[in-house]
Amino acid sequence: ISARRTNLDPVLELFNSPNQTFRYRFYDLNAKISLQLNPKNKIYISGFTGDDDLRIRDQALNANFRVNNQSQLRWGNTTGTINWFSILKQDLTASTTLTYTNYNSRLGDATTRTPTNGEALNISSSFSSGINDLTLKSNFTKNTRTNRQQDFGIFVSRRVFTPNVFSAQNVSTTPDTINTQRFGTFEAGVFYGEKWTLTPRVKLTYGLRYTLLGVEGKTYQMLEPRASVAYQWNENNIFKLALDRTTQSVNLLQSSGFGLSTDLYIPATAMLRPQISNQISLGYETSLHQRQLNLTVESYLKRQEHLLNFREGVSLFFIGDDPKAFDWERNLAAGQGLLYGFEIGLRKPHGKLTGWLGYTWAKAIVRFAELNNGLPFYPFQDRRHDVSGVASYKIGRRLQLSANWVLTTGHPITLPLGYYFAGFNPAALSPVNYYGSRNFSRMPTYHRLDVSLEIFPKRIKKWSGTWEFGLFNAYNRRNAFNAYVQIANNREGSTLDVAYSYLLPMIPSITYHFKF
Amino acid sequence: MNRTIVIFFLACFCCGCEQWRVVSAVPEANQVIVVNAALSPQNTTTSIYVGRGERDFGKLQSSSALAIAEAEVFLTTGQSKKKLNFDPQTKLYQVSQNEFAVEAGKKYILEITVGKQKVKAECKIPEAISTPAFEARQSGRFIRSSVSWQATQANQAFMLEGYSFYRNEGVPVTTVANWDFDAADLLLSKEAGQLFSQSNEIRLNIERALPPTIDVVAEITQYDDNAVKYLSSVRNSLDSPQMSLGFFDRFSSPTIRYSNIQNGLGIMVGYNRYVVRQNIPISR
Repeated sequence: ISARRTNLDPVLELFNSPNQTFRYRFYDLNAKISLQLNPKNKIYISGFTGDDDLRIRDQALNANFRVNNQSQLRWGNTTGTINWFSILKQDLTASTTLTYTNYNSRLGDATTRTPTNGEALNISSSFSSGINDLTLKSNFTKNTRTNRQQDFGIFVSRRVFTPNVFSAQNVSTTPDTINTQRFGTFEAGVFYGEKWTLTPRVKLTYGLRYTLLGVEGKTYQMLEPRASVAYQWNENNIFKLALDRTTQSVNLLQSSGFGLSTDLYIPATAMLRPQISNQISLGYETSLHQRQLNLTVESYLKRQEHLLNFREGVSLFFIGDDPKAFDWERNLAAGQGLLYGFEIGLRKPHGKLTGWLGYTWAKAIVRFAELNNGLPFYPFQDRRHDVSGVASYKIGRRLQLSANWVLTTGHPITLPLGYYFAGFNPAALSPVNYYGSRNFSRMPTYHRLDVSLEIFPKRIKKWSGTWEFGLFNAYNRRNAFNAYVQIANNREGSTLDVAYSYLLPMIPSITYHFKF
Repeated sequence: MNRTIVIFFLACFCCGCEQWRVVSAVPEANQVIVVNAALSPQNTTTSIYVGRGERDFGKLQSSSALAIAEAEVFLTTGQSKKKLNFDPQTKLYQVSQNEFAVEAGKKYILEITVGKQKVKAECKIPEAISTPAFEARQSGRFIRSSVSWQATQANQAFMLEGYSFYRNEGVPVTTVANWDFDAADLLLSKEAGQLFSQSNEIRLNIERALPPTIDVVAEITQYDDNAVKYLSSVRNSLDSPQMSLGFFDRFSSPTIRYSNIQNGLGIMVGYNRYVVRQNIPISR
């Protein structure tokens, strides 16, 4: 059993500005038990529950009004798993798993606009998204011969999605509006896969998965084949080629505004088809420096169909009196995506100094007929460079120094780059924001170093403990959490500035792990 | 093997630099030529705005201040081509209907050159709509009137921009509804033959002498495809409260305003306006 509870408020208080304050806390609880019923049957039971809570409060001043805003982002997850592992025959094992997952996220936003001369206007909105998932899966593994292994099984899954939006306004003429949608899906399928060592140098892996998805009276059939081959050129060099097709009945929608990301999980529906991805990947593995270092390189190309994105102008916090306006299903656009890139990994598994260094170059491009004038653009997920490194150095028997460094280039966002005038009447044109292109701008690069020193005291009977002194974000990098646009008045007139919110500064920690 | 790895890493570096080529493809706001033109047979003068964008929000300019006076502007239809002159008063490029007629059903091409920059756009003036029909009914002190018309094809856009009651020629009893420009009022036809109907009502002031008849006048505007796409993007941005009135909606997706100007921004549309009038006798 393990439990964690964090309260970063006192630390964050040091870094908050008068115009913007942050609060963040989380907890999680883990439990696991295993029961050996007899030599051939074993049962594992595990559970997890966790909750994160982030609150942002900021204000903006203008010559004509003052705007106070409070946003809350809260998400939590509860899972429970029962697994029954059974040895049916000498060459046949079965693993049956019943999994329950409940995910919930809630976003709240409250704004008060106080004009210099006039009554304050309050607008509050909230949005919640939930998934309830119950899955039963049986997986059988058979070793028919020494060079072949077969995996096959069946699964059934029942999911309930609740993407809800609620909006309220304190103007008496506008009633509160609420839109509650509930989607139930049923999935059932079979799968078969085989690992076959064809020759000592050639290994084949292939499989097929067939799924039936039922939603809103409509049934989708999804066929997912996969195949890969690994060829060992010599003792040090291995080449790999893989082809696979995957379908996805759950879509993650992320807004690409200049603000907070809104993660909304929605199912395929009678109107929205499941997402399809076809991927080809090439890989290479080698050993360097008398096998002290392992180098892996992998490149991939992926084509996606039936991608979903929010239609332009759509806000989950739409303020209005038409409940249909909150209907996310009608506020989506469908398109295609192309992803490609490569990953390089260098690992040093042995010696006093161990660790690995990874670099990923990735590019994602999407095209939606209804977005960005039909032109391709970079999606929210497009992060061009990703570098990560982990190193551990043992100092004697009782000390270990570790460091972890990550760098990721910023994700795309749409920020105004200027303005121009447009309209039908050339004598009375209106100013319009110039964005260049959708998602043209990028968030600043994220990088962070975490260091820790572990001390292993002597074991006292059955009691063994470890002290860990850590420093999260060791060089106190101000990594931007989200961007927002400020309108401010000065002598020259109104200015529009892009500002960033920052979260999680340098945080020292002391941890004691123990076993008994 | 070591040489292979070095070459591979160099290739990776080159691929990494590739992103800058794509990103730098978007010009700065003040380098973009902005064109706005709305062509209609009903306009006595065709006016076209040519200007630039502005990247500095600190200097809130007017559209006139950003207008370009030294552009070469040509309008072409069929074999007819006309150069438009810049009017320093209005800061617009203009040509009168007498010099260059804009007619229903014709396609117009706009070509503009500013130094080495060239932009181009085209539009088609919509054909006449099917005959609009009026229906009027008086009930006591109230007159209820409705106008209806049919779309000749799918994906046509209409807007009822005026619906007024007149005592007699030119003297309004009351202008009950005089639609301001609002993309939300745009009527889109899903299929050919789709019927549209809009109605309006006035209350007669019986304390005053009533005229023997009252004129009902409706102004229906039909827009081309470009206007439909442009107005749809306007409507999308109206849906989003971001940036308006000082509200910063952190959760909305910004709207890119539709443009059919090649190598530039703005919009060129064709439209045709119909004024429908009916004389209603007043019963006492």
